[in-house]
Amino acid sequence: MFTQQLVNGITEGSLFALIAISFSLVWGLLKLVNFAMGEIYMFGAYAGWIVVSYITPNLFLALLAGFAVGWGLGWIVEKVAFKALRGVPHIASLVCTIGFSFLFKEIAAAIFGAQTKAMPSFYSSTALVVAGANVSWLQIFMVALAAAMMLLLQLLFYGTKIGLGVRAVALDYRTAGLMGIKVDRVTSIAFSLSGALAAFVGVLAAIYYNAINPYMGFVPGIKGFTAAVFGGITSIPGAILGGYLLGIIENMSVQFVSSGYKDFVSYLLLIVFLLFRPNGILGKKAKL
Amino acid sequence: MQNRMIALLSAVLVLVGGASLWAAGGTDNTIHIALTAPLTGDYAEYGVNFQRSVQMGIDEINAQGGVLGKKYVLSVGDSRGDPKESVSLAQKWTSDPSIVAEIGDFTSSCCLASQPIYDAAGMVQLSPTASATTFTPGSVWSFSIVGTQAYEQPFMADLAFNKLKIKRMAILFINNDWGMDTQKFFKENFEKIGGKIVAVESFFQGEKDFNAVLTKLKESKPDALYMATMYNDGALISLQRQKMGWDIPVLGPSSLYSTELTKLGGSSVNGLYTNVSFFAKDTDPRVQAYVTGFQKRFGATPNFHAALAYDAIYILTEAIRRAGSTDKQAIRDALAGIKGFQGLTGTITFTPNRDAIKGYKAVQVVNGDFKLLK
Amino acid sequence: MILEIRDLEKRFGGLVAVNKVSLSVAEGTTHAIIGPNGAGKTTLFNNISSIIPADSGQVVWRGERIERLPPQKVSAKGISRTFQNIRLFGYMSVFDNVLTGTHNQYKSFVWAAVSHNARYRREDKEGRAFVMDILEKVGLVDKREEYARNLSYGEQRKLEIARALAARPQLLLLDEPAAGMNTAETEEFDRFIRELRREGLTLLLIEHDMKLVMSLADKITVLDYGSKIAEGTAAEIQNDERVIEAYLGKRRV
Repeated sequence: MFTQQLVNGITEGSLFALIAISFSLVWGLLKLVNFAMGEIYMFGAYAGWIVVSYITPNLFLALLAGFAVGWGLGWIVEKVAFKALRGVPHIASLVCTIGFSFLFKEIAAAIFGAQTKAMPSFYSSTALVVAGANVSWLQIFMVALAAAMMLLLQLLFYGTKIGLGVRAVALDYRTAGLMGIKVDRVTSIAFSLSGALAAFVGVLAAIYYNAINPYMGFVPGIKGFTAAVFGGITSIPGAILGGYLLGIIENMSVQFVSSGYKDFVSYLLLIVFLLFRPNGILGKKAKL
Repeated sequence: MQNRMIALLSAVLVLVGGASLWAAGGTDNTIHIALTAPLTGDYAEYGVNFQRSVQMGIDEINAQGGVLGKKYVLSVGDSRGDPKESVSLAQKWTSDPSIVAEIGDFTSSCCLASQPIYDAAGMVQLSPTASATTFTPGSVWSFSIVGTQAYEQPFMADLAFNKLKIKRMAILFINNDWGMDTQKFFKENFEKIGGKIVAVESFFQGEKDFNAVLTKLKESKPDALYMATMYNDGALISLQRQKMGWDIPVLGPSSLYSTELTKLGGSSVNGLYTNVSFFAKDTDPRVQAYVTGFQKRFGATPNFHAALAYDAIYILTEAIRRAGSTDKQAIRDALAGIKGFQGLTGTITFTPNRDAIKGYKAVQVVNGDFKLLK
Repeated sequence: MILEIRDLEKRFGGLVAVNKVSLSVAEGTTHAIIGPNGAGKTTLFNNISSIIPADSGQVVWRGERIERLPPQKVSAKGISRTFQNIRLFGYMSVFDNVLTGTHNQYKSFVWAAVSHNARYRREDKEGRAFVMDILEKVGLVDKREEYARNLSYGEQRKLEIARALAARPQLLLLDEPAAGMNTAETEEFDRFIRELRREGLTLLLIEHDMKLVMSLADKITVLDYGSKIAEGTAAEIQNDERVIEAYLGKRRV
């Protein structure tokens, strides 16, 4: 059962890790938290749901649709909460993203209804059995896709001009501006990307859990943020590590403590950990 | 600036004054009642059905001339299934002098949270569905017609142990007032008649990942799984259980009886056992009149909870009729005295604690549809 | 004239940091600005590069006024600078730091990076080769994978210049480039600047090391309390009464 919980934890951890990257990206660039991230995730899930239920049952198109919708929503949040509110205290932007979080929920409830909707599943058959643990094709697919996404992001950040720009702005936006880097544009792109990523995860999660509703984003939003802090919020490798650790710890605490104390155990561990390492696992060591 | 403030202030005063005048004027030929229900959020399906049924009942009663010669006016508030929202709605209703009674809320947690407000104000709080055993004893103003878990769970325990011959049961429950009660009463009664509870696990509202907890429950090798959850969580758990390849009989309380369960859960909920006091395919003409009326008007089949809300407005009407006035104390006293009320969800008699004793029928999901168990 | 400054003024509250300063920089020359601490030299640089715009006066670049342009536009015109307090991207490799300097020169950006088209690949390849050339020139090729923050002080100075050069400037503003360098490093730096000048680069330089200034500068402008008090060749400045007074007077206090 230990291996089964490990498999469950790694799958869930992949989702947490990708959301955590979204938070790290925004934090890195703006030193801000986008509290509407969970709701962008939720809209991504709805976009995927529309594709598979009304257009074509194609998982990849669903993921693409989620990505696109998330990009757009990220762009909007950045324009309103951060660009338009530039110069006012940071707290106003934070509150504005909280406002977006409620707004998105209400809009989704108004358009799609508040009821839970079923999401078809894909690749749910068992692929292999490792040490007594069932691993489904979907789990393999999710972990592989998450890994591919992380690799792609790494290539983007370390292999392209735009990635260099994002890193430069994250490190020192004033100097970056002097180097001719279009700070506003880079910020906007990175912000949209973070939204796209969150929405992409939303589609994956909807398929994994087979259900969507307008309120599904809250818990993953909090968990993703937690994973980012766990890993050291300024670092993307940290976010990935934090996501997987959180996923595994949660599943293990169900197994070895109790399901009722799952969140309690994982957050207790987190708080104790942060007492000793306030900057998270990779906090000060690596940036973006 | 000051002039503008004065102008604004007087505008507000006029509005408030006008509203209260209008409200006060309403007491002449109308009866104002309030409905608190989760119209959005996780329990929206239940809440929306509350609103539909109560509105339907009110329209029928008004069309027949109302009660005491007065017509009902309904105020509806959305509690989102959030106890804080339920409390603020309770404050809103009790501070409105025209409102004489309240129907709602849906969850026991919400009802318990707002109970002190209704108690202090002296207004009937009639919940169609609150089944936590601690609810109605908490205030003489609190009523519930669903029948508490103290009555429903012995029925389920008997069904599981004696009829289905299940000896080892694993329980998964939602960690709130209702879920705690449900699992506690099931566990007590199942163990009392000789069954063995091999594992008990829980989750919090909003959880979507049940893989870990199901993995752990499976390890305890039970004969069946008891899901003390609402339909939406129940469907999600069943889907994830099916995906894990864990094939096992599943039972649960009447909260699972919803067409949404089969819609969301698909083939994963086939074979699931639950119970009802109200069955939409019942041949009783009153049930059929309600079901077809509901279907015609809202394009959906009413579930047990919808029918409870329908019974709630009729039993409240009966109390007002017996009281012969819209005095809040008179309504409460008349309601408390009701015995043998013929509702769609069975015969309702309030116990001294103001909760109801009901009859239950076992049902099973067969090919995506609920069938009465013989 | 490649750069002309006319009656430039900048006040911070009651303090006049730059007081109606005018000066001209001829193309291909090395022009030094000296003066005691607090004379307004760095403020003048900030005004030219638009990081802190001047209150009044003009900055004229090849006949075009640029004092109201945002800093990145100024840098796009061909004016690069380094900073007195080093402003490198500490948690970025030496190579990538220099690469950020090339940002101005490429038009294709987001779409190009995503599609990875031929033009993008060509520009990317050229950019990287160019960065390697510059690193070669400043002697940091071997350290290209290191985090900038792990370099020695002198190396960080070099890296800042390398990054400024990556923007292919026509005018390079150097703010105390030799500060903190030892004698050997300063001598090496002297040779490096001469080579840049030989390649035709115009340099405007703030420096406290008088030996370096006298050796490099074609023309020297002396500021004191925000005002220009003297201008001329090294020989002229060394004999100027007001310059001696400004420096020696300070020391007496």
